Amino acid sequence: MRDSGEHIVIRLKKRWQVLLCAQAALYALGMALVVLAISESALIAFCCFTVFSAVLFLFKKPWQITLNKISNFLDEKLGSMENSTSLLLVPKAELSNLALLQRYKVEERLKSQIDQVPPKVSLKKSFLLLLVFAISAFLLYYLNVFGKTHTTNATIADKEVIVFQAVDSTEVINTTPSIERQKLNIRYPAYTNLSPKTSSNMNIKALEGSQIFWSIDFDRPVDSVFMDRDTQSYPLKRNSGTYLHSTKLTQAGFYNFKFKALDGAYYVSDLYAIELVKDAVPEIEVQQLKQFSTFDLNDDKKLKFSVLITDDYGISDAYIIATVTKGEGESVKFREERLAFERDLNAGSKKLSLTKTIDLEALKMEAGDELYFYIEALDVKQPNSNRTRSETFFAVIRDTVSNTFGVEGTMGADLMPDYFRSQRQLIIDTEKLIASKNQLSVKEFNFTSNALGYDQKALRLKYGEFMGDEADSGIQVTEEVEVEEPSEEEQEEEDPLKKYTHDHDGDTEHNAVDHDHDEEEPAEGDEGPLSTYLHNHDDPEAATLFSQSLKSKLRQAMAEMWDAELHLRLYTPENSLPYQFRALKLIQEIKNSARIYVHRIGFDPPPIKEDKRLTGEIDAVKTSEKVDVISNEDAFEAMRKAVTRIAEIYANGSAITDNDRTLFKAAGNELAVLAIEKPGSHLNTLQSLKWLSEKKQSSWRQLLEVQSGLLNALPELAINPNRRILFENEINTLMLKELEIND
Amino acid sequence: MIDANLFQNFKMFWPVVFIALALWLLFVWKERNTAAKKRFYLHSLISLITVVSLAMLALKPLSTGMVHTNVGVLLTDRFSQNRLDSLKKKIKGIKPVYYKKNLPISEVLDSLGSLFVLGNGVEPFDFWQFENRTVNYLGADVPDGIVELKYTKENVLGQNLEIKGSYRHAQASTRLVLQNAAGRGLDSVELEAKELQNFELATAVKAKGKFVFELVEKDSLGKIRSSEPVPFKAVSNAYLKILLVNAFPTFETKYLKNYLAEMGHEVVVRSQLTRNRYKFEYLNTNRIPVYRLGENELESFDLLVLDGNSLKSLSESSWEAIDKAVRTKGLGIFIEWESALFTRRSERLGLAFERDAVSKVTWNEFPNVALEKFPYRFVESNNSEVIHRSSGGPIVVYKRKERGRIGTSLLQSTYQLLLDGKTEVYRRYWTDIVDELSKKEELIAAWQRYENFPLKQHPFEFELRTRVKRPHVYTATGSAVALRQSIDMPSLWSGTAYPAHQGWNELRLDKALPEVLDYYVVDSLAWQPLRAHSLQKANRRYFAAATHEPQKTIVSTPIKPFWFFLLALMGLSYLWLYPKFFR
Repeated sequence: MRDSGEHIVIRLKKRWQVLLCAQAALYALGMALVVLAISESALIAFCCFTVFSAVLFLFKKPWQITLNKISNFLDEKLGSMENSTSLLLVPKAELSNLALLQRYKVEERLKSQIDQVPPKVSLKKSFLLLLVFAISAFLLYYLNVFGKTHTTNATIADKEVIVFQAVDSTEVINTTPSIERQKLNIRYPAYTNLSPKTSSNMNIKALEGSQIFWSIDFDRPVDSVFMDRDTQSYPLKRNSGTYLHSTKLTQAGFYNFKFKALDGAYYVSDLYAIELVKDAVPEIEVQQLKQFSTFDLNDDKKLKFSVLITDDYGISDAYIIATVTKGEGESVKFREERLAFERDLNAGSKKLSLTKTIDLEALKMEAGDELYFYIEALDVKQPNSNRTRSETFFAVIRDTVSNTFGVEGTMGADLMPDYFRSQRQLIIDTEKLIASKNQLSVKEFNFTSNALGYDQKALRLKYGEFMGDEADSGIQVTEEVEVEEPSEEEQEEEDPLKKYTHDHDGDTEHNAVDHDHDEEEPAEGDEGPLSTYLHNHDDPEAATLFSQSLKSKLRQAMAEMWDAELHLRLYTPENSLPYQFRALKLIQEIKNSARIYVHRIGFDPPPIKEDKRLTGEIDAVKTSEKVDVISNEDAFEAMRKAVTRIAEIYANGSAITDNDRTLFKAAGNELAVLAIEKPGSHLNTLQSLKWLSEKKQSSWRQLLEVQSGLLNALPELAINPNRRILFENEINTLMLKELEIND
Repeated sequence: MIDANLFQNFKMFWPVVFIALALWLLFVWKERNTAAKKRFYLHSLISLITVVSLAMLALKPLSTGMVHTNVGVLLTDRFSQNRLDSLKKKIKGIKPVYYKKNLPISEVLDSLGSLFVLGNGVEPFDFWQFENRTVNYLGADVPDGIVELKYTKENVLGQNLEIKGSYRHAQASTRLVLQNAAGRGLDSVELEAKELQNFELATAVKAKGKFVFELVEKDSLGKIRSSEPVPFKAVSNAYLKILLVNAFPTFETKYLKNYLAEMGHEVVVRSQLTRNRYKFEYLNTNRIPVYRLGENELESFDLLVLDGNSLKSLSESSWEAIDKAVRTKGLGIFIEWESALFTRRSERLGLAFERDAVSKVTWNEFPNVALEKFPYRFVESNNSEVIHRSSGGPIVVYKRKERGRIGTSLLQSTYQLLLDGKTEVYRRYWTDIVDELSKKEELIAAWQRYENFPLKQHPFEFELRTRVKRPHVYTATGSAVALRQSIDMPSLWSGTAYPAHQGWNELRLDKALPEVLDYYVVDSLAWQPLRAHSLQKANRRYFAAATHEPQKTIVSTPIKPFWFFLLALMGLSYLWLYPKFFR
């Protein structure tokens, strides 16, 4: 009966329905996995699974799979059924003979072919989808896309539980009080705007000035609870079964809890570190501003820059301190001003971007004045805010009138006028001319060369004035310059080349004429820059301005200038250059020789005669004595002693005495100093040392570890001479004596 | 003539000879009628051979040979089976004897003429059983691992624990790690795959006490392959009393004084200001003005640092007092020599110089630091000893004067090292000088031991030098250890203790005295390769004196009769068959 056609169809229907349900469940499972990965809560995931399953169930509607639908499906899929599957569902009694015949036929066929028609539900696809979901869930969890911390504060993590150990384990009773609830509340200073943090981890890392609250609940009453911190012990206040303690964080260190049970036994906890984080000072970054800015008088004298200020908890104020200096030397005057930034700053923000334009004119700065300024920023720290200042920036308005040339201070008069430097200028111009020869037309080149030759001549004549000779010609030349320049320009258009030659010739002619003239009227125009210094301008040879050697040098220089001028006028500046260099060198030498050096003279005592030595009065010289004890105290004496003592205990197998515990305590205090600097490396040792100093029992392993930790923490000793030991024996002594005899 | 040893049945010699001769003559007579002359001679010869062979069968001749007699082989730990096999092949009847520690073996040895020893060898405490015996020590392969080890068993604070050793057949990337008892690594060295390589490990000593470090061997993956204990004792530093005398204050003295005083030593400085006026400085010590350098004044000082001018200008009586303090009390003197004094030879200093015109030198210990030097060098002398050496020769040298020492340096302005921040170099330089020269603490007793790693219930031999007339040595439990006095040196005693337990043990000289020898007894499994190697060396050394070729005796063995039988058979066959075929 079970294999009757009707049953086959019913089985197919049930299978179909089951498959649909399974498909819904698989989809729901996949989605639930993703939810699990995101929420990390099995409960939520299960709820989601149920909801998804229900929704998908409603969506898939497995109850709608009816027998009619199945028979239609079979008819459709299996042509051999000849659209007669429905016959199978009709009771036999209701069928005609023909129909019965057909039913039998179809039933037989169906039996053999039913395996070829699987329900139209693809479980393969569902599994594939589940796999995709599972992988994505895994990735979500693994990559921690949602940035979740994988610990929860809801329960105390196992490793955070304060573990108390009995100081004397022989007195341990079975009912050791244990921690029920432990809470650490850190209240950051108000200015940080940080919300208080509650944690069950007893290691503290907090901002300086934070308020720390501890609260501890025990599961059964205890006598009293203490907190040991840096050799001091603070009792915890009891408030309706909870033990409380609070302190303001001012220094780093270590602490542990200790409680006394009702039966009098002491229990000590592990050591916890207090790490202090200091409020950082604000950081100032000045952008788009050079350290030195220079302005000419006619420039737009504005300094524009932007400043980026950052701080970890907020900036309370920022401003510019500007100092203007006026004048120079002893008459310098300072004026300090505090400038605000253009925009009102948003006090309390952690990052400020400010701009400022300083108008130097608004600061009433004039040519030659200098401005120094820096930016200062304060953070919100209370009560004393951290302040920081940027580097100093400078702005100068160039003073065009100031005479930068200064002759050595040893000379009373400024003998060197500016044009002494013009030989160098001439060289530079000549070199420039040679360099740009290709770009210039012949005319231009020659014109410039000739002009340079003229300048060279002017210079030579000026030096001539110093020599005291041909003073007139110097004046003449200056006049000539004034007269000639416009005439040059006038004539240039007509015949420039002619002009040069003419000029050149005229010049010499003029000079020749001048010379004659000079002899006739020597004193006429002697009003050069040196006229006031010349005692006897009538007689050039008697001029006292320079010594003889200088004079000859100056003459030499002038001779070189002559040649230089000659070649410039011949449009061969290349040939002129060597002469110019020689002239420059000579002028430099003259300049340098004008400097005056004074030798420092020390005291050279006359040699003392041998027999007079050490015969002076020495009554006043007294034998002096100095008694001093240079402290060689070892800052880690207790630590060293503890190491030695542990070695002893280990070697002899002796027990730890009370004296040892005191020693370990002292060693712990010494180590704490080191541990505060490097908590990571010494905390465990400090912890174990604490145990050793409190507890009566300890394992060898623990002892050795403490010893090892102490040795590691101890600084190395400086190398030190030592009294060596030696056993004197008769034969050695004899041997040494013999050796000496034969030496 | 005819040796009785030639034949086993010598007593039948003459009868057999007669019978054989008769037989042969009979044969010759029988053969004389044969036609062929040639055949006659041949047949006679063959018959002679046959008859002689028959005679030999009866006489049984002997062959003589050299043979080892009563040879035994003593098999000790790690003996090689191959060697035993080849020994057995070479020496017939060699008798293997298994060695058991500390058990009488004399009876077995008595029965043997000579003995080979295979394996690591016999424990030194069993050597007595092999006295005056013929023993040939063949040994065994040197084991792999640490086969040599030298280390400071005791040192003062501030100095290092230094371990030097040789490793045989290391595997590549094996690391030797020096660890403390808690397993913290202090120093390590990586070994290469080599036949034999040396290694050095060191760690600073920071606290006094008895420690047991561990020398751990780790493979390339960090897995521990072996761990051996390294017992070490750190003792505290003893402070010195030092007198510095200057003709005028110098920087050298100033910095030296500061360094020594900072280190806790008692320092007295006397700098001359002018005639009979001095500046005294007493650091870490009481006021004890030293106006003249007399015997009493110098009594309490361990080291006297003098500058060259002071040495030169010392009165004769002062010098005599100093000399006496040096010779009898062991006072040390360091002279800060001066450039002007190099040219003259100073009788007082007793060291001579010659010019070498080298003004910079590097000290071997710190080859990167150039030191300022006087342009002189020491003239080689037989009885001078060197403290510091540069590549160009000694730079700090001292000379013994009976119990004391007097030394000087070629370096000048060493304080410059401090100013240059090379504190370590400066300290090292002066520490070595002060260490070497200063008065030595005379010991009541000095202990000497030969075994670095003694075993529990095994003999631990020690030597004791003491000024105590009748010393007694006790163990920690109070039992006395017998001592034996040396015949030549009355102050030298030796004894053997048997440590009762593993770990630290002690030997105490006269219960009331503080003279103690601390020694650490290791597990018998510790330092196996090292122990094996040193046992091999001890055996080789001990048996080298007694090595003889094993005795051999002449032995006669009968020659196998088969050959004579064969000859006789062949001869007889020929003689019988010949007439049958050729007649």
